[in-house]
Amino acid sequence: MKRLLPLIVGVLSGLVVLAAMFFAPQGGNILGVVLNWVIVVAAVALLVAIASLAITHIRFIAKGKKGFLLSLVLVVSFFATLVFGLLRGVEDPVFLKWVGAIVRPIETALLGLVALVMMSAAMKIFRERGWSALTVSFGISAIIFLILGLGFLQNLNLPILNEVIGFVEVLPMIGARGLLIGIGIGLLMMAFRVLFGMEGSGND
Amino acid sequence: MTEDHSELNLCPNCGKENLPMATRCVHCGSEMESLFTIFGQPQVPEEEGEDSLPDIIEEIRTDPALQVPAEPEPNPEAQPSDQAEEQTLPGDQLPNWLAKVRERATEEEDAIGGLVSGTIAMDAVRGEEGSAGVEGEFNAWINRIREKSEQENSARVRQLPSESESSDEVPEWLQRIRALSPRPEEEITHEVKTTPAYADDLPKEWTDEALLELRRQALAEAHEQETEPLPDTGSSTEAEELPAEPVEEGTGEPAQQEPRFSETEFHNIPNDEEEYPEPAPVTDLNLQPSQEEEFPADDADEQEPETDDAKEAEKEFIQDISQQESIPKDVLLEEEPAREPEAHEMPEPQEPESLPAEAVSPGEEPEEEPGEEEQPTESAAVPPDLLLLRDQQDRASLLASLIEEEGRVTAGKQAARKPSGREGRLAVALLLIIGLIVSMLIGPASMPTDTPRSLPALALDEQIKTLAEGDRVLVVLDYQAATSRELEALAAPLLEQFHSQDVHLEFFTTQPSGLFLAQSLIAQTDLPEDTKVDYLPGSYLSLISSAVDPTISDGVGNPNPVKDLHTFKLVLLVSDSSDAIRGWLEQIAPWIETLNFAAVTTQMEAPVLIPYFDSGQLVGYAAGIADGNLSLQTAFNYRAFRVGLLLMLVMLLLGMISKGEADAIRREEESSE
Repeated sequence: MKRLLPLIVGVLSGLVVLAAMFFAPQGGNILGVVLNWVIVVAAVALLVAIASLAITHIRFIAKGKKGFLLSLVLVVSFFATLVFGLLRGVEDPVFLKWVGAIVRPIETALLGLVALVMMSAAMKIFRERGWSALTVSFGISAIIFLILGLGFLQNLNLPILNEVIGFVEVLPMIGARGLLIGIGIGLLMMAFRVLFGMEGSGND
Repeated sequence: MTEDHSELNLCPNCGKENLPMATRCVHCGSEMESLFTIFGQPQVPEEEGEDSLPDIIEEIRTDPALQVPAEPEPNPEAQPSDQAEEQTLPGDQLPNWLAKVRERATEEEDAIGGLVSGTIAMDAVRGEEGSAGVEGEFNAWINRIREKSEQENSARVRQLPSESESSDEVPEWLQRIRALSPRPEEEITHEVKTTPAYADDLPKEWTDEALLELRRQALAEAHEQETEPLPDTGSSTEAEELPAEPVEEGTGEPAQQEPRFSETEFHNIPNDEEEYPEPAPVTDLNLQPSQEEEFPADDADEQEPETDDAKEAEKEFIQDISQQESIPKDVLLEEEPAREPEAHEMPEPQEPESLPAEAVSPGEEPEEEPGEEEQPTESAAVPPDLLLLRDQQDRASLLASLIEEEGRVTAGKQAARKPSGREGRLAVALLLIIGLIVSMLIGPASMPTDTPRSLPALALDEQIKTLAEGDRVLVVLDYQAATSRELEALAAPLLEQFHSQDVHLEFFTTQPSGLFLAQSLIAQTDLPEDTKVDYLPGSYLSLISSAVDPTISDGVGNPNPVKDLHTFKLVLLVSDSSDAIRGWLEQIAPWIETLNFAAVTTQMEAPVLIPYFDSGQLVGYAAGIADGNLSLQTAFNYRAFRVGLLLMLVMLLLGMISKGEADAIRREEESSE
């Protein structure tokens, strides 16, 4: 019963949404209600996740666990943001500017680190994985598109070269279409598994 | 293959069996023409000859005429055993078989006959093989006995160090000797030897150098003790008349008695015989003949008990071995004399060298003697009991080399040290940092104004131009702070274009962080600062119902800030996630045919949007620096961007080159191996 109830709920929800889609626009109300449930449940889950995160780090601080200073920073910043947001409102320009001034450089720096890691990975991939079809194709495509990204060839304004560049730039569409088709088929199969109760959504 | 062995021919040379059709012996290659027979053609004379041979011999044995040579009348059926008698018989009186034998003897070179010669050769070969096998087994058996005894002796010696640790201030090698031949006289003399060198602190582990030094000192003192009483022992009468001074004689005895215990026990000291041959036994053995010559009576008295003791010890040793190996004593006792001639022959060539050192000049210092310093190269200088077989010497040398290398740091095959790569990484990081810093310090380089834009970007421009004044455009902000720089640079010019056309813009964000990011975006445009940005929870999921049924959005209590999607002319998706854009295009767009969708995304996500643009689901999108009219933005450093791309390219090529180099080195190593 512990596993059967979530399974029944999942199957019924899928069937209801599917029926609402088939019988649109009459089924629009039902669809809106079900999707609003999804949004509310997701918001509650987010609140639970935030509370769990705060409690966990408060425990770390109380126990003096290794690295509790970072937990202290997290908890202090969390409660400061919460209090500031409750007092001034989430749409207050000062509050938004203050939060943005902290979050934006941090995330940008992290993205810069990702670029460096990608550089290192590009250098290591041949040494670690050796010469294979995957690594060779990756290396060739990376070199070609890096050269194209520099813009030197485009600035030459040669008609033939521009045609070649256009052809090369269209090539990713092949991969993108294949990727999208794969995603679509995967989602369809996943939906069938949920509808037929084959997906163990209720697994412990 | 199935032939009977009785039909096989025996080689007259080697006596081994061959096939009947063989013309040459397959074993020795000798000719077998005379034995060649043809199948299917019975050769009566030879068969008769072969078959009649035993009969002939039997007749010879049983013929009474031949057994009694004095019988006057020869029996015509009798077979003469003596050729002289045969020649006396006339040809017509000869028996038929004898005539055949004589005829065959005249025809063949070998009068004995091939068959007989083959039989004799075969018997000889078998005899040799049998004797060789017996001899080989005997030798192997004796070798096993010797090896066993050596192993036992070495095991006994190994057990001694633990005992020697308990007895302080006594060298290890001396304790071994004491344990093997406990004689009070030797204990006294050897204790005197060891004290001067290592009286205070004896090393726990005896190295070869320490043993050598100890041996030199011990031998020097032994020699002194040995040579000093020599004048006393020169007269037999004094030696016999001094029973009250056994110690003085005893001090001289060990030099003569050392060979006795060295017969069996001195082998227990590894490498002694090989690396440091005992000079004392050599000189003693050499002294014996000289002393016998000079003092025959005295030596006879002294040697007799020694030889008796040696024989007794030898018998005991053999008895021990025989008990362990269940070997008959006779075998061992028979083998020992076989080595004695070698032993007695060995000292003789050494006599002239040792005599002047020992007997002629006994008063010299032992250290100055060349015999002690020099290692004898000939086995003649070694007592017979210390003689080693070749394999024993090889093993001893191997053991000596192992002991010599023990404790030393050997340069074994060490694994090739892999480069850590830290230096390389540091160099690459420095290169990146320097490149970026220099490119930024030089100053912003504007992007060329004539840089061609992508086709989707041009299509988006065309779509924006079609918008009329008052048209509603929904701008959905769905990106993170990390990508805000790239997306804002692309979206800001578009928003300005919208604003210039007096298009009504409504801003929504699906991310909580979108509120302050929208503020930054609006600040980069000419839009008023109080432009409202609403949060749209659930993203496009919250709009599906209103997209499906427009009447729902007009209902009371709808919390969505977007009341009706059908009223918008264009939806501009500013997102760093192709999945979010795909969700809008697949979940919302099918329900509202009049609504156009455009996108502003990162260059990384742009390839996924190409199919949607190609199918018309997207009227256009802008991605990358070329699509955003970045030449108008002074904050954008195009040079830094290009430097970053160049560095990425260099890193990629470096990775390829280093891999190729590593492969080439590995191939070279493999080929060299």
